[in-house]
Amino acid sequence: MSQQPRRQRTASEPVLSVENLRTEFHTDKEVIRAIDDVSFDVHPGETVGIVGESGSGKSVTARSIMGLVDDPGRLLDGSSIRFRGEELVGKTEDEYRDVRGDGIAMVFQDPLSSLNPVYTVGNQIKEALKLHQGLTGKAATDRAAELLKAVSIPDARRRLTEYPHQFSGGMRQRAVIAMALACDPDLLICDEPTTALDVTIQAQILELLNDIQDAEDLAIVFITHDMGVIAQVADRVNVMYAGEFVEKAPVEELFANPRHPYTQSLLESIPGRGDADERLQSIEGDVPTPHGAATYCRFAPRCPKAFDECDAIHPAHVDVGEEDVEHTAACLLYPDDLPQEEALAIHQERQTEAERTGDGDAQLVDENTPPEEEQ
Amino acid sequence: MTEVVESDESAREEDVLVEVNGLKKYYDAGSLTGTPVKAVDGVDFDIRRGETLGLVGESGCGKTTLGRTLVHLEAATEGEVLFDGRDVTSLSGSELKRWRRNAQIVFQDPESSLNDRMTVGEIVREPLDVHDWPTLTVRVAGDPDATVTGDAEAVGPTATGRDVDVTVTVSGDDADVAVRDSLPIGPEDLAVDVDSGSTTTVDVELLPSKAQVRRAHVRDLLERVGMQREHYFRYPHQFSGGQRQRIGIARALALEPEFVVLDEPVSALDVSVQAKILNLLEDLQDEFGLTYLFIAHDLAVVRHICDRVAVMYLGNVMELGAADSLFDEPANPYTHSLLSAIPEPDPTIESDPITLRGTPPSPRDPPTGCPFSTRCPAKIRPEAFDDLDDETWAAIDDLHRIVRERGRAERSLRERAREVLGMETRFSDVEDIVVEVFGRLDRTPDTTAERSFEAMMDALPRDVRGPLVDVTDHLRENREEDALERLLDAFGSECDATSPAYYDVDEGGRVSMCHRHDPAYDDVGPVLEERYGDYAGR
Amino acid sequence: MSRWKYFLQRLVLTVPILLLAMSIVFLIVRAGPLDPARAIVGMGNPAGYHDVAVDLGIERAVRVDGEVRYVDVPLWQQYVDFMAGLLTLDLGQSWVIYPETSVYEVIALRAPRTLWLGFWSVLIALFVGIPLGFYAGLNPNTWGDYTASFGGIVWRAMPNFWLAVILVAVLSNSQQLFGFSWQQLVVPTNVVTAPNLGFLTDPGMFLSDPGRAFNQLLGATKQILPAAIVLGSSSMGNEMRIGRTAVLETINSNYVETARAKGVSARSIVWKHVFRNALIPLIPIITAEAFLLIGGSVIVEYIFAINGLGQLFFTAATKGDLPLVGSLAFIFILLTLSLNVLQDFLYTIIDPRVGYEEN
Repeated sequence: MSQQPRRQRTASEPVLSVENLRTEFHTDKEVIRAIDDVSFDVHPGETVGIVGESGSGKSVTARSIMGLVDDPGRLLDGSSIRFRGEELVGKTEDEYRDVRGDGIAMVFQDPLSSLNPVYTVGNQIKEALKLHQGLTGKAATDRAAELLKAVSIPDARRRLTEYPHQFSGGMRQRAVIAMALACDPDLLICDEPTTALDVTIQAQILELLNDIQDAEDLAIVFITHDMGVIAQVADRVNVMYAGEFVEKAPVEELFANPRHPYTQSLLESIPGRGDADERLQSIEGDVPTPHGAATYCRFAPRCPKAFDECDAIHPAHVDVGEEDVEHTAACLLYPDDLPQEEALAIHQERQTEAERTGDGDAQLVDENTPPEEEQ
Repeated sequence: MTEVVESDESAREEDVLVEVNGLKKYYDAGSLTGTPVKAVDGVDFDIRRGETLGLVGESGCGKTTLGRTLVHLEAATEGEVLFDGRDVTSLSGSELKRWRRNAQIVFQDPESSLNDRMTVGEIVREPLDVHDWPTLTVRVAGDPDATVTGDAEAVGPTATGRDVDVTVTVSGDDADVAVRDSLPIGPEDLAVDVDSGSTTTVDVELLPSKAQVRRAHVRDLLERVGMQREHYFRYPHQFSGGQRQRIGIARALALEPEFVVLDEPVSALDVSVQAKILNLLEDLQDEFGLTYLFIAHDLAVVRHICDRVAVMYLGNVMELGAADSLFDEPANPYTHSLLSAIPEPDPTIESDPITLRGTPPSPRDPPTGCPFSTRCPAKIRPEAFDDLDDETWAAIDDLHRIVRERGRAERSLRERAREVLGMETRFSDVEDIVVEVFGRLDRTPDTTAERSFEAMMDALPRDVRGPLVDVTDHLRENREEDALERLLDAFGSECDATSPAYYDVDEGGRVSMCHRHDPAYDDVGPVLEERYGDYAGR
Repeated sequence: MSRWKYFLQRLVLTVPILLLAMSIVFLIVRAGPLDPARAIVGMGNPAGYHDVAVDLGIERAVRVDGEVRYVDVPLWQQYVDFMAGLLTLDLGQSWVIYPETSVYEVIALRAPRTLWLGFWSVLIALFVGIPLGFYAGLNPNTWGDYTASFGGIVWRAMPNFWLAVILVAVLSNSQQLFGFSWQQLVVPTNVVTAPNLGFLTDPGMFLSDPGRAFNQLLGATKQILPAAIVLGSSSMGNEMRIGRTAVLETINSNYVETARAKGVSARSIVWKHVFRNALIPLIPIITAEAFLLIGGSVIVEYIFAINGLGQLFFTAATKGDLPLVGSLAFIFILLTLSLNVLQDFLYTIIDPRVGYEEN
C-alpha cells in the first residue's frame, strides 16, 4: 500500500515498552494465565503487529496496556508497561484516565457496538475533545467535522448529527478511528479493527491508517488473526500462542523464514500458499487454556516437530536470524547451529534462572540483544 | 432485466442439477411505506452435478439470501429455480417437504445454528425423525409390476443410486436381498417374504426399530465428519467452533441430499480449523457425490475449493466462470477491485489496491443502470471529458454519491418544517460540501476552509463548472432529484443509463456483466491500468 | 422511517383500538346477560321499568292506536347511539349509586383520589425501585446488592391485600408498637379515610390561604402514603430487578469499554452512557405497571377506604349501575391508551433507533 520502504527501527526511544507482562484471571473454578511473560516495544512511526488465533491472548494484551483489565483479572507483579518512559502498572484509575485517549487510544473490533447507540456520533467525538483538549461549543464542532473529513467521511457536518446506526459498517469504523485520534495520541492500539469488515472496506481502512501514520508519525499496535493483513500493515510482528510470544521478527523475515513450528503451520494453512489441488495443511488439536506459569512448551501437544524434552523444559527466546536481523523464536529446536544438548542446556539454564529470580526471561534476554534495545 | 447472451449450447452439455432463471427476492415488496429491499435482483446461473460453485461478494450483496432462497428458506418473489428440471419455487406442503431431502444447508455461525438444549445426537437425528427415515425403497429386479408391502415402498425401474435402498432379486419363492452400502443396515435386518402369484408380492419388514436404525446412522455420520460415536450424548456447548461446525455438516448430510448450500461455513473459524473443515468438505463431496454452493467472502478459500465462481454485487451476478481463470484474469471491474483488495500474505509484494471509494448503495435504492456504476473504477466517461484528469473525476464521483445519499437521508418532520420556513438545517451547507469535495484538488496546503466557493469554481475547467453551478443551485433548494439528473446529464454515460448485458469473456464459458465488454468501448484491463497504474491485480 | 413519523403512526393507531374496545364494552353492557334497565329498577315495578328503559335508550315509546306501547330499540341502533354519545363525550348519568348525577360529577368527585394514589404509587415505584436497581447493578455481588435484590423480591412477593391489612393494623396501633402515634404525626389524619384533596380542585388556595393549603397538602400526602406504598411495592420490586439487569448488561457492553478507553470519568460513564441505555428496557415495565395501578387499586382503595374510581367501578358493577360501568370503562380505556402513547413517546425520545428498519 505505501511506496515507502519498510520502516526501519530507529535508535529513538520506544513509545511503548512492555516487559514481563503477566495477566491472570481468578475465577471461582480456575486460574487462567491469559498472558505469560510478554515483552515487546513500539517506536514512533512504526506498526507492531500481534498475530494469533482466538484464545491466544491478543485482546487481553491490548486491554492490559490500556489498564482495562478488571476484577477478576489482574496484572501480576513484575509486569512493566512503560509509556513515554512513564510506568503505567500501578497507576490508579484516575491517573490512568489521563493517559487513555490522550496518550494511548484504542480502536476495537466491532464498530457498531463500540459506539453508544443513543447519542450522535458528533456527541461522542466531542466528548473526547472536551475531555482531553477542553474544547466545547462551536470550536468542538468544527474540530469534530475536521476529524471526520480527515478520515474521508463525506458530508461531515451532516454526519455529525447522525446516529451510529445510520452509518454503514466501514464508515462507522472510520468514525471510531476519528474519535480515537481526536486528541492526538502517540500510540494507537487496534484490536482486530477490520475483522468485521468486508475486504474492500478493509482495504480502505488499512490505507487510511497508513496515511494517518505517515502524517502524524503515529505508533500503532495492530492485533489480528489474518496473516494477509499483517503482511501488509506491520513492520515487525509478534506471533502469539496461548499467552506467549513464540516468535518475534520483522515482517519480511517472518514470512520468508518462519522458525517456530507454530508460525510455519499457520503460514501453511493459509489457502493459496500452496498448490490449489493439494489438501490444506492444518494443525491438529485446539489452543490450550493456560492455567499458570509455563514449565513446558505449550505448543508441544500439537507440534509436528515436538520431542520428549518439549514437555519438560520451557523454551526461551533465542536469536534465530541473521547477523543484523532481530529475529527470535521460543523453541527448543533453536539455536540450531549448536548440538541439541547444548541448545537444551541454554533453555534449561534460562528456565531455572527465571524461576530463581521470578523475573521471567527479561533480564537474560537483555544480555543477548543488540545494544539499541537497552534502556 | 438483463439479457443473457446465449453461448454455445454444446459447450454446456454437462449435467445441470440446479438451474436458476431470473430469480428475484425482494423484501417489503408490497408495503405501503418505502421501497422494497432488492436483496436478489434478477440472477441467472446453473450448477452442474458434482461441482462446487462459489458465490462471493461483500456483505449486503445478497449471496446469503440467494443461498437461502435456493433451499426454499425464503420464498422467491419472481423467477424460477429448476432442480433436476422441476421448478421448486412453486412447491408447497408435502411435496415441498419431500423435496427438502434433496437440498440442505450448513449455516455460518456454529454458535447459534445448533440448539443448545438438544444433544448432538438429537440434533443430527432430527431431520431423520421429521422425514420418517428410512422409507425403504425397494426395487424388485426384473419385475417392474411387482408390488411391495410392509415397511417398504416400491420404486420405479429407472431409479438408481441412492434412490434404491434395497434390491430384491426374485427366483421362484426365494429372494436375494442386497442393501445399499450407506445404510446402516444389512440384509440380515430385513425379513423378506415373496409371494409369487399372478403378480409377485414382496413383503419387506424392517427388524430393528426405526429409532435404532436412525441412531446407527447418526453415529456413522458423526464418525464420517471426524467426531466420535460417543459424542452422540454430549451437548453443543461442550465443543469448539470447528467441532460444532462438523455437527452442522453431519446434520446437513443426514438425509443424503444431493445439493448442499454452504453459507460461509468457515468464516467464523480460525485459519487452522478452517483448513480441517475445508478438507472434510472436499472428502465428503468425493465420497457422497455432493454438489455444493459455497458462499463466502474469503476469496482465497473460494479459489481453493471451488470449480466455478459467481461474483455478486448488490443482488446481481457480475461475473461467473471457472475459478482459476477468474482469479488469474478477472474480467469485471468489480472482480478486479475485489481481488486487488485482498491483502496478500507476502510482505514483499507491495499491495496497491484499487481502493474503491464510497460504500455500496442501499439495496432499497439501487442505481439506475449498472449496479456498480456509483463506484466503478473503470466507469465509462463521456467523450466530451476525455481529457479531464482522474482526480477531478474522483471528485465528481464523490459528489454524485453525496447527492444520492442526501436524497435518501431521513428528513425528520422538524427539518422539513424548517426547510419550508427557509431556516437553516443540517442540509444547508451545500457550498461547503462542494468546496470540500473539489477543494482537495488544490495542491496548496491550506485549502478547504478559507477557499471561497467562487474562487474554487473559477479554478475548474469551464465545462465542469457549468453543470456544477446548476447542481449546487438545485441542492440549495433541496431538489436532490434534479441535482442528480443534472449530474448524470453532464457527466453520465452508458453505465448510468442502462444495465449491461452478460458478455462471454473467454472460451471457458465465463460471462461478465459490463458495458466495456462491448467492442465499442475500451476493455476493462487496459482502462484500469491506465488509470491506476500497476495495481495489485492478479 | 424517522422516529417521529413512527410515533405519529402509533398515535393514529390508538383510534381504531379505542373504537374496538368500546364496542366490546357495549356488547357486555347492553347485549350481555344483565338487562341494564332491570338491573336498575329491580324485579317488580314494571311501570318504572319502561321509563328507565326509554331513558336508557333500550326501548322506544310508540303511539299505537292511541295507546303507548314500548318497542325494543334494535341493537345496532343502540350501538350507534352509544358510540355517538361517547364520541361526543356525553357520558350519561349514574342510576344506582348516585342517582340523577351526571357521570362527570361522579368522576370529579372520585377521580382525584385515585389519581393522587396512582401518582404517589408510581412515584414511589420509580424513585425507589429504579435507583435501587441501578445501585445494585453498579455494585453487583456486594452486600448492598444482595440486600437490595432480596428486599425487592420479598417486597414483590407480598400480596398487596395482605400488606394493606397489615399496614392498617400496624398503623392503627402505632402508639403501642412504636411509642408514637401515626395518626398524630405531623398532621392529624385517620388511618383509613379518603384524603382531603381540596387543594387540587382549588389551586388558588395556595395563593389566598397558603397556610391552610400546605396543611391540606401535607395531610393528603401523609394520608395516601401507606396506600401508595402498598400499591407501589410490587412495581418497585419489578423495576428494581429489571433495572439491575439492564445496568449489568450495559456496563459490560462494548461502547462502555470504548468510553473507558477514551478516558471518560466513571461518573460520566454511569450517568451519560449507562443510564439512558439502561432505561430503554425499563420503559415498557414502567408503563405496564401503570396500567395495573388502575385495576389493582380497587382492593387497596377498599381497605383504606379511599373511595376512589376503582372502588366506584367495583360497586357499580356489583350494584348493577351498568350505564356507569360503561362510562367508567371508557375512562379507563382512555387512560390505558394514553399510557400506551406515553410509552411510545418515551421510547421515541430515549432511543433514536426507534422506527429504523435494517436493510
